[in-house]
Amino acid sequence: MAARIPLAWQMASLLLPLGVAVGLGWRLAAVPAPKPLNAQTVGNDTRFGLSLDERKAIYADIAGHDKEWRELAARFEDAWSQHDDYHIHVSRHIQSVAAGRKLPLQAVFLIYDEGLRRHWPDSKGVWLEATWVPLRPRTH
Amino acid sequence: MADLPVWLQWPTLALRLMGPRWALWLAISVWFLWPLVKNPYQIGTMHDAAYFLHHAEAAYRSWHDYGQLPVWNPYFCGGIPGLGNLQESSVSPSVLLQLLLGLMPGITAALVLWFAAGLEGAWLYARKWGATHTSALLAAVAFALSGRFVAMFADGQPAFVGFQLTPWVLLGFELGIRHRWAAVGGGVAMALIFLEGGAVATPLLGVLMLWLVPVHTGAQVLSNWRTAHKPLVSLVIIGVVAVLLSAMRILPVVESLARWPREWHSEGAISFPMLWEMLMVKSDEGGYAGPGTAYVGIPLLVLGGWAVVRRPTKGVPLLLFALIALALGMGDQRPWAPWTLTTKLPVLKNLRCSFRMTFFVALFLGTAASVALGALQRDLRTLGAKLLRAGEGMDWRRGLAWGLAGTLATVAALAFAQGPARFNRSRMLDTGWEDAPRPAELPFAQSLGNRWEAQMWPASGLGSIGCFEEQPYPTSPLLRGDLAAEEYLVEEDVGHVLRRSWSPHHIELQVDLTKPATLRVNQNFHRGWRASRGRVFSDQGLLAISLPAGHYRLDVEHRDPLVWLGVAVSLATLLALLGLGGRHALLVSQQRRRELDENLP
Repeated sequence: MAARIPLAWQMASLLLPLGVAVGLGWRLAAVPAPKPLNAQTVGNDTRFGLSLDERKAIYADIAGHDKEWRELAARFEDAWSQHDDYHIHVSRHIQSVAAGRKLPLQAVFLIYDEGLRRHWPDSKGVWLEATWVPLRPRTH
Repeated sequence: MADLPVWLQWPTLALRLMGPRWALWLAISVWFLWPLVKNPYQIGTMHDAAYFLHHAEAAYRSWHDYGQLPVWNPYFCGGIPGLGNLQESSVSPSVLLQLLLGLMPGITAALVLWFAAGLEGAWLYARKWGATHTSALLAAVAFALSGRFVAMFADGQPAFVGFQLTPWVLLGFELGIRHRWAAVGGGVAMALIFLEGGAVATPLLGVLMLWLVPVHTGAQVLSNWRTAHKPLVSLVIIGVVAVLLSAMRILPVVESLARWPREWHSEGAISFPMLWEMLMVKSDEGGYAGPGTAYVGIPLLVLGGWAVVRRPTKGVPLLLFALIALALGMGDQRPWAPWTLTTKLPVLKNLRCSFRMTFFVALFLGTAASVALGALQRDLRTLGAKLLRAGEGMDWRRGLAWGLAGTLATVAALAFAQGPARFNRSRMLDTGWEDAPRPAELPFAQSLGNRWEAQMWPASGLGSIGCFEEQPYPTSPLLRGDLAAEEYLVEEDVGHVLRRSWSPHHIELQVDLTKPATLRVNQNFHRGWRASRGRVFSDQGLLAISLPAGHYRLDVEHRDPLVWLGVAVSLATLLALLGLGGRHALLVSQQRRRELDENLP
């Protein structure tokens, strides 16, 4: 049977992990946080360093796939799953646009959002509806 | 035998002292979670990571930016219950770290602490089963760094970190058979798991304990049949404490589940070879339940098997527990399979992914291996003392034998633990990471959004109508992501409404109406919505208010009395536990002092 370690030793020893925890917190807090994304429109309708025409072109590129993605999503029977599948294609395409143009992914999503919000037309002059069907998730 | 002097207890002394032990756990956790410690502003690339980060961001905004309890989440699906969502972790104590350090560093700091708590819990659990201070190291690492804890990053499900408190709950359950206060401790641990978003960890652990009750009851019957009820009592105490302590979440969650039951489920069986490959095969294949995704390794199994031979009273029950967890993990194999029978219970019919029972298999195998290693350490002590011709008492020869045996056991524990730990860490390093979204302050509005990158929207201050939840929350077809104003009048030419301020639970508007009119707010209706004027109602599921004519300020607030009732119950339980627990600790310490005084010459 080993001797019982005095409580005072146990308490004093806790300073060690406390120091480690504080060091960890310090280290984590010291990692530079990414700069906030300036999503405001500035100057001559510039946003994310892109002019209005450039943003419209990005939006038109994404929105131009609308028909193709809707056809692909039609393999699902229910409307919610069709919407959901459509948005996988949107998401993947936005990722490729962001990578191709070296833009933050978030910025391209917000440009897509801006296009929907401001009813920018796609290449065929049609604007997309910014609505979703009610949530009816698949059960499997 | 005389007490072993403290100075001869190397290397066990370091582990007997809580401080060095916790420092070791923190260091191991930092090593394991290094990609996140190095850069906490990252998330996994799997979709679920986006989902969980979205919810964390939404709750953080509510707490941090608006000083509000995140009862309502306006950032997803056009507005859904926050606290009432089973998958939320918005009132977990780990949120305090987010408020202290910022969201992403806070999440990482909490993960490190959860892992450290898992290491400590598994170490204590192994000690309870008879492992030595040093051999219990093996159980700690084998469990807390087991493959499933990497899978939670690979699959993007950080809420599974709650499984790290498994050994604490089991300790409470097993010790609670004799000491009811231990069961209370187990209940506290269970509440923490639930608060962390334990949609999976809580029921799976509950199911495991349900199946362990008969085993413990049998053991009680064999020793003293009058105590046969005690395992069940211990489980009930854990359940009651967990429910009362987390009432602020349980009440809205139960209401939400009753109104919109979870529909997402998957039936299916996992074959034994699949589970074997998950646990025993080193493979980079990955996948949800692929080979190596719960890796603990064959050496651990062999050592655990040795516990059956060398210490059967410990090894047999532990391997029986592991087999029970394994049998549950095999899912719906047969109509009489444990998992099939369990899912016949009404509350548990949506249980899925039985393979996650491998979290528990890792704990039981690790503990059995520690017990075997501890037995070897004790054998080495005896052999060493004999070889050194130690006397009967604790002379320097016996001390040397003990010290050497302890050192060898430490080396052996680390040798056995390093294989699975290094393999699992390599999987952690290979997990795909991407940058977390940057904060962007836009005035709140619903956007069409996209649930596949759900984390983008609350970070930008916007809601995402596009969403996925495992419960079919009611969402309105009238929600739009292109409105000029989020609060608008249905009738034309009757006046105007201007937003003065917005927060997730309070919208202040200036209303100027020449005639009574209907105001629509571009969020889903919920029974918690109130308005300072007019009548709140659901307009095809959208929040709407019929307003009288006039020029006035309108406050639209979300208040849920059920949540506040839960908060009161949680706080009262916490205070009661602190008071009664403190009194109990005082009585125990006074009793010990009296015993010491009586034994003095």
